[in-house]
This record gives sequence, C-alpha cells and structure tokens, in this order.
Amino acid sequence: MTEGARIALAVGAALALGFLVMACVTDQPWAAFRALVTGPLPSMERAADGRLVMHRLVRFGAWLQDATTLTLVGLAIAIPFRARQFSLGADGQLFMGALAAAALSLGLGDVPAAIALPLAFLAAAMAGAAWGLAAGLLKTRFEANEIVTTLMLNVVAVQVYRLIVGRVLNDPTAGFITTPPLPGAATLGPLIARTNVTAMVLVAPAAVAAVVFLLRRTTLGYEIDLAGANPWFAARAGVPVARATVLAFALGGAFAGLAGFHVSNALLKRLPVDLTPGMGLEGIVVALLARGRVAALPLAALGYAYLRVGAQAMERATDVPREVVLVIQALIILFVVSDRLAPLALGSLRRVWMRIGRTA
Amino acid sequence: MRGQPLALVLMVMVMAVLTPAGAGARAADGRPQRVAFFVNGALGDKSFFDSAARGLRQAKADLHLATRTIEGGYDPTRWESGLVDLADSGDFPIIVTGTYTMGPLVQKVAPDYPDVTFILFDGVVDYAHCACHNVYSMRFRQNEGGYLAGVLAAGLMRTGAIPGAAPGLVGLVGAMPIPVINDFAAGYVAGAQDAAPGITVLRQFANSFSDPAMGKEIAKAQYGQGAGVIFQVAGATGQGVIEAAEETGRYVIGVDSDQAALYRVSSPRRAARILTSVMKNVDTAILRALRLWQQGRLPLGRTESLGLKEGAIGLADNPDAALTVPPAVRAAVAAARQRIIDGTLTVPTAFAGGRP
Repeated sequence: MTEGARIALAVGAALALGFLVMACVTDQPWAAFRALVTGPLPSMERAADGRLVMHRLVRFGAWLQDATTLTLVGLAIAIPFRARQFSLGADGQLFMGALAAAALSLGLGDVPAAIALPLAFLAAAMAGAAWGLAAGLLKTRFEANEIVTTLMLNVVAVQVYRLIVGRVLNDPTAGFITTPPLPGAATLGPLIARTNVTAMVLVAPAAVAAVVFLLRRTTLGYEIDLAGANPWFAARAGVPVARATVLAFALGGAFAGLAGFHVSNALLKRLPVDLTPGMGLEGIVVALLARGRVAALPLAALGYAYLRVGAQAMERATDVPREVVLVIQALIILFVVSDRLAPLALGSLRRVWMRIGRTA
Repeated sequence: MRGQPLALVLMVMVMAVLTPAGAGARAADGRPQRVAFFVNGALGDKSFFDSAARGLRQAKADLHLATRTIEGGYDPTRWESGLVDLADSGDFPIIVTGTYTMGPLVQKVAPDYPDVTFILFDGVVDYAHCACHNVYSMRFRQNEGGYLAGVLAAGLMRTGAIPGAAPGLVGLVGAMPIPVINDFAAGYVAGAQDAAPGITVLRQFANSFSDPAMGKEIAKAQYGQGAGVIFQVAGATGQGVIEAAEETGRYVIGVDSDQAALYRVSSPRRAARILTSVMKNVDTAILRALRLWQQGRLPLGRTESLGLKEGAIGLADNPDAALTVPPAVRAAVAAARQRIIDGTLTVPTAFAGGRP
C-alpha cells in the first residue's frame, strides 16, 4: 500500500471516530465536524461592490504560525534522530533561543532593523545550539543517557529563563511578569494583516531544505547518518562518530533556538515569565508524523498545525468542550502514527471476508 | 442534589416563556445577542476563571444572552490569534476577557474592531495611548479583601485557638509576584500587622497559576514552620494549599470564589478547613457590566475601580468553619470592613500611584 493511501485511510478513520465522539457530546455534530475540517481555511466572499473579500485570515495565519514553530522544533528532534539519538531537549533549546533573542533585542535598544534582526536571529540559533551541544557532549564524553540529560537540561533552561525574565528583564509597569515589549526594529512585521505571520514562515522551509542538502550532499550529513545506522562500523571506517553525534545535537538545537526566536521576536514580541513548556515536545509528534524524514517535516507540521487550529475553531464555533477537542486531536495523531494499524485492519477484514467466503 | 439543576433549567424555561417577545437583548432578527468569554487559561480553577464563567452563566439566564466560553489554553502564543479570531468572526458583538496579561492584547486588537465591545475585567488598557472607545475595563481593590483576611488570620492566631501552631506566624501562598497578587498580599500583611503588631507573615510564590502540587509543597512547608492560617492567592495552584490544610489540620483562606462552597459537597472535610474566602466577585461585576451594556449605559472608554464598597470584594461566610472563629475576631473583621467602606481606613496597595 502506498504511503499516501495509508495516511489518507488513517486520517479518514480517525475523523470518522472523532465524528462519533462528537455525536455523543453535541447535538450539532455536523457543524462541529465542519469547523474541525475547514476551520483553518480562509473563506472568500463577494462583497457588495463585486470584489472578493477574504475572511477568517486570522485562523489561516494561526495555522501558518503554528506550522512554522512546529517545523523548527521538528527539526530539533529529527536531526539528532538521524544519529539515533532520542533528544527531548527542544523545549530547553527553544527557551534558551527565545531568551537570547529577547535579551539581545532589548540590550541593543535603538538600532536599525538591519543590525538588530540578524543579530537576534543568530543569538537565538547559537543559544539553542549551545544547549544542544551540552547534551551531545554529555552523551559522547560521559555516556550520559541523552533522554535523561535533555529532559534535565529542559528543566534547567526553563528555570534559568524564569529567573532572568522575572528578575533581570522584568518590566515593573506591565501588570504581569514579562519583559518590556521588544523594540520595533528587532521584531518582524506581519505578511498578512492582523496576524503574526512573518518572514519566519519562509525561513522554516528554507531551513528544512538546507538540512536536507546537508544530510544528502555533505560529508557531515553522511557521517551523521552513518553514526546513526551503525556506530561500530562507522568508527571502524574512520568516521568521527562522537563529533558527528555532538554536531547533530547542536544543529538540532540551533533550529529549536530559531523556534524560540519565532516565539519572541515574531509572535509575542515580548516574553512572559509563564511561557508554557511543551512546545518542544510537540516537535516529537511532528518528527513522528514525518517518520523521521526531514523533507517531510513541513508537511507533517502543516498537518498537525491544521488539526490544532481546526480543533480550536471547533471549540469556538460549537459547544464541544475543550477536553473532547483534545481527545479527538489525540485520536487522530494516534491513528496516523500507528504504523501497522491500517494494514492490520485491512488484513483482518480480508480474513473475515475469506471466512465468510469459506462458510458460504 | 440532582433535582436542583433540573429545577433551575425549568425555572429558566418558564421565565423565558413568560418574558414577552422583544424584551431583553435581542438582535434585529429576534435571536439573543451573543457574548463570547475568552479564557486565557482553562476553566476548573475553582477560583478566578470559574467565578467569571459563573457570571456569564448568570447573564445567560438573567439577561437572555447567548454566551460562549472559549478556553484559550495556557500557551500564550495562541491567545492573540484566539482573541482576534473572535473579534474577526463577526459572530459576537461583545467579548469578555480578563487579567492583566490580556490587557495589551485587547489594546492592540480593539481599535481594529470598533463595532465590537470589549469588557476587560481585572486588567486595564492604556486609554491615553489607544483608540479604545469600545473597551470597558474593571479593576478590583483586592487589597481591601486581603486586609480583612489579614485581620482574621492574625486575630485567630492571637487567640491561640489552633493547636500546634506558632502564635506569631501566618502564611501566604501566591501564584506569582505580579501586581494583582502583591495587592492582595499588601492588604493581608497590613491587616495582620494591625490586628497583631509584630506578627510574621511567611510569603512564598509558586510561580504558576496552574500547579497544585507546588502549592501543596509550599503550604506544607509553611504549616511545618508553624503557620496556623495560610491565605492562598494562587488560582488553580491554591487547590494544593487547601489539600495541605486538610492533611495538616490547619486552616486556609480561599480566594476569588467562595471556595468552601465549592468543596462542601465533594469534600466536606476540606471545606471545613477553609475559614473564609476573599471573594473577588468577578461574576457579579461581569453580570453588572453586561446588564449596563444591554441597557446602553456601559461607560465605554474608561476604567472603573471596584472594591468592598461596591460589593465587588468581600469575605464569604463558611458555616462549617464558623465555630473556629471567636466572636471577638469576627467583630474586629466587621469593624475593619466598616472603616474601609467609610473611608476612614486606607489599605496600602501594591499598585503604583496608590490606586488600583
């Protein structure tokens, strides 16, 4: 069975199940279903003077914003995974990236955008990379399990973030604990009015293309793949396995750092102390949906973000409670990542069919 | 208990039938007007947001509005798009939202949608720097409620009525050191000092509105140091403080909603540990605002300050814990309340400029 058909089947089955759940909790399941499936799309209407007017661009924007963050954190999971490293550290790298970008933007103050933006961008990438590098070094130098170290580094990063935002960068006039708004020159302007869709929406696929190139066409990419496929063989073949592993961590961290830049300098334009951890973990879902293939990450991110925004639209448009929305969302993910579910279902259907044929 | 909601529904239905057509808020097509409540978090905190949601439910019943509550979740990157989407949908002529965190977002969004009315509770927009003619905001003088809680807690400790507790010690567990919480705390400390000069107030923050485990840990530490009463100002985090009070057999003062009433049925032992709650009557304030709006009298484009005098802040009566509080302490609280309402007592505030 082809990949496309399998995914279509899984999504279809999940949506059908989701519809059943909706039918149980609301008396307007069709409206809920429609909101889920078409929610993130803008709608076109012909205005009185005959011009086409786009509505609901906000949701469309929310979809793209979400997909941008998800693609970048997806990279942070998928690249170390090429070296067979299960990094759960995207969260900490994201927080460090956001913190570095915001601190630098605030520190630079009134400088032209041409200076502020690239510097903040680089600072975020480097902070994320440094946090990834730490996990990589702990693994290769001290053989510390990367699942444990990345999770612990997340805790450290989040607490460092809270300390610095709460104590150092805090804006006492804000009414809640947050940094002052970042200077205008350091923030990205919207490409779509009233949304926060910025140039970052183009940076994410470019980043993916660059990583695909790196993995397929460069020595380092080959080394990372080889270190992941068979570290013993790779070492025998003269591949610097440790270096490749560490660099895979750092590279992934850099992209999580950029996701942090997206959060601080494009979406929020200031950093609240209670920025929720967990965005990095969504990267795992995206990487799983893409089956670890880097080139498929944007597609997986778009799919997952579509689901998230559609779920929000459903919550907004109907009386389906938030909990059920989250359940349906989880069900769909579950179906899509369950590799063998579709063939298994088809196989058992065929067996049942044959048994019926035999008894008849 | 099960019959009660049913009776309520029947009552509302009867009222709906008896109300003559055209009364109440009706849009031009005769359908009830729609109100959206955007929660920048989640319901179920048994405190601040739940109180607001109660106000919306009340508005639905009393004012015949069609209300919808949208939980935006705890991820701040999704709040702005959520709020804009509500305004942009054109489905809701009025949007209710709250907290100081949402203030800047409302300020950013409101000028783009002049036809939508925004009611912002417990938060402000900067009217001087924003074309916010369509925003009405409410601030609460929670320091007045905090003061009464302080008088109660310190008074109770002075009587030595709590076994095992150190007489010169009361506690406070806050969610985050933000001005609103600090304002509660400022009143609490002042009240405690006035009732029992020299008393120590332990004060710690959980750095989260949604972490009951952390709240419990901090509360246990404070009870362990000898605090007999803890005032919790911590949203959903405070549920952990209440649990700790139950386990240690000490007392807690709730916040925002009448929290003893919320636990009375599900967990009476816990309810008995809640001396009272400093109620921030977000629900009645929202109901009042919506009623004014319906009558076309909502003072848009300005901030109103609500406190004890307006009935927006108050202490809840908890009959389960009533025996614990001696009459003398109760009288002291009542006297302080009267002096604040009369204006003879000014409670210190954490807000710059002296007024919330």
